[in-house]
Amino acid sequence: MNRLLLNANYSLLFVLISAFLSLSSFQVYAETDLSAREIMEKQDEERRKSTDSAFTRMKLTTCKYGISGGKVKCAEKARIKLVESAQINTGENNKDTKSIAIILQPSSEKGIGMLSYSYDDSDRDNETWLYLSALGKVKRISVRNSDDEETESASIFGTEMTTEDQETGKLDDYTYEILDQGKFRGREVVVIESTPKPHRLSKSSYGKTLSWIDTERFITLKVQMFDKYNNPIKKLEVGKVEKINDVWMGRSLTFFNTVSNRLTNMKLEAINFDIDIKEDFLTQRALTDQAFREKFLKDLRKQAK
Amino acid sequence: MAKLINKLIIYIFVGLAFSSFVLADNSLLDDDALFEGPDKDFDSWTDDADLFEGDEINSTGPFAWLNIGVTQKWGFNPVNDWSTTKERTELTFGTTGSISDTGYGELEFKATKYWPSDSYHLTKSSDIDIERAFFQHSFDHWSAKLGRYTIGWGELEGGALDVVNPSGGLTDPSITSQWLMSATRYGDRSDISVFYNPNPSITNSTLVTLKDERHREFGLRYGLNREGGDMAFYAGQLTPNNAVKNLTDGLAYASPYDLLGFGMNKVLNGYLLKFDIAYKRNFQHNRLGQFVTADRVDWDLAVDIMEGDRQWLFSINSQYWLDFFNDYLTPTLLGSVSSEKNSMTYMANVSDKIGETDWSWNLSNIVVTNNDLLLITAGLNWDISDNLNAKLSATKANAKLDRAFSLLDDYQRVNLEVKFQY
Repeated sequence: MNRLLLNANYSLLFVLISAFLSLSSFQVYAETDLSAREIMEKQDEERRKSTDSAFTRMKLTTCKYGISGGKVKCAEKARIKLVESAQINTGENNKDTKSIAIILQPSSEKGIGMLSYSYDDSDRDNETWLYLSALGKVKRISVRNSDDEETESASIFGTEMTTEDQETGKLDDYTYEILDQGKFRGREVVVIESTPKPHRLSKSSYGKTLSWIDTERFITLKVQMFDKYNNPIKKLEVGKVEKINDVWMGRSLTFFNTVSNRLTNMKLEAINFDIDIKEDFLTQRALTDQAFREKFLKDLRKQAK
Repeated sequence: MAKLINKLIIYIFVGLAFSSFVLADNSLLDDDALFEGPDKDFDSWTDDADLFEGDEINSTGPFAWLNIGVTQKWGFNPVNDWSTTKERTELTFGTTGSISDTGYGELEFKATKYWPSDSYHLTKSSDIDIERAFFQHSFDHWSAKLGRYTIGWGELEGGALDVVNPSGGLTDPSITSQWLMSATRYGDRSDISVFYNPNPSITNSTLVTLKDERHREFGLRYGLNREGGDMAFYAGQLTPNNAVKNLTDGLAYASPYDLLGFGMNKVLNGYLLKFDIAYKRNFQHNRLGQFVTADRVDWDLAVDIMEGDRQWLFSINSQYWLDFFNDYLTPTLLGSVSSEKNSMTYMANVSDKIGETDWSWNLSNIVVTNNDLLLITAGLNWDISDNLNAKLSATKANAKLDRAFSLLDDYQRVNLEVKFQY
């Protein structure tokens, strides 16, 4: 009986030890009061601020990469595009985004424009149009994703960035889980796993993503993307974090395709918020009517000075 | 005691198992070993730090306002000992930019040199031509455009409504710009535009004289943009892009016809569906011993599938004579053949990048009703740099000798094109 009791006491002790070990593991989650979903909402809100009435000039550098002197550098002659972009938030609670991006360089691609509408509502598919000047028409772009692990969304201007990488909102399309919390590159972060729900999975290139989110500034410092077979395929690293107009944002975003060893770096050379961008500008007219487009761009450049 | 130790071990394992995923996840907070070097100390990471170091772009080089391109084209005929059919050099130079606060203009000249081995060397002299030149003025909801450019009608290139710009046909689908005047009024998710062409380009065989009647063409398009799809209505009086040979007098004609049309696209489960339909009235056509006008309905249905860099396009195109007679004839170089009441064309096209390289490929297959024509095209494209591009393509056609496409029977070409653009 005593032996049984002793055994029972030992058992109780060991259960407590086990429970302590488990609880001590879980205590990291208690360090933030916010749930994974709430953190993602805050991050989305911050990201939205960085797109609200913003006029940017960015340099897109795409190349095969290598490491030299601790820095990632192009291992071949890079393809560089200079792009101007204007975007606004619109729709219910300003949760939709309308944007236009126009290539300024190289000369062989000068004037190519892409118009995108990104909707927060899960039931509404995002829309993209390209202007084909040689054909004199606007082409609607629709990307179909299959369950094929190699399937990718449409590339943006031939870079490693895809239309899916640029999406905002649609938080209801994913389930979120906090995997870890602690210091990362000197900042307090949470690592959140976003898993697309079944209806979203069929439209996505990714099986899941991990996001390192700064819990003080609610900006993403890093994202690791996985394919549908849980293999890491792509990574986004955010550098040159700055507070511009009370909005924290990274001025250098580097997308690493870890399968092909290619990268695209998006460097924001100039960014201006609270620019008066009329919703009329972000229509198909801006693609087909160059005079209209140039007039608005001139006005935006003037405001940006 | 041994049992107790065993239990202790088991419980510790259970405890570790509960915590193991967190212990494993601690690695999530370590930086990857991607960056091996003296700067790998991320403890000293600051907001200003960046992993990538790129080259600066030189956006203010000399003549940055000038677009210059040089293209060298070669064509070979594999059937005839790979003899050269095309050898020409094209030089383009142009500029684009704002003209006043509300105007915009583009100007591009093209100088073509036909080398002696080019099949057009005797009939086409080397010249300088305006490839593209227009001025566009925009105010309020209106935009007006004047000059030489292209107008894209319909959803499918080469389809029922793609009737404004002439193209080189099945073996050379590139389109030609024309001198046009157009005006568009933009509304909220809709637009209405009109165009006028004072002198439409007409493709005609050099063996047949075109009876020049100086026709004009004009058209109207009303477009509606909706979430998930667009649609447009068309009306106009147009001149055929290809002249029709009158079998009774041996001359070629290109008299205007009337058009009413509708085109739409719609996204369904990631597939982009395209549909065009056009009623064409007073189309010139040959009957036995007479040159008549007849009405036709053209339609096409296409599905555009984009999966990453791979793009598929499947289309069906129909040309249906409404008032058909059995003695309808289609002229060919060798005489004439009977016409079909309904002529169908099926096309499948696929293009993709080759891995993560600068190479891409495309493959296209066109089949006309009853295998009257079977045309296969394969191409390889190499984007050597932002300025330099090379294209290699091969085309092969088989056609029935007693049908309209007999001229294309056993047609084979291999083309190489190298383009430099500054």
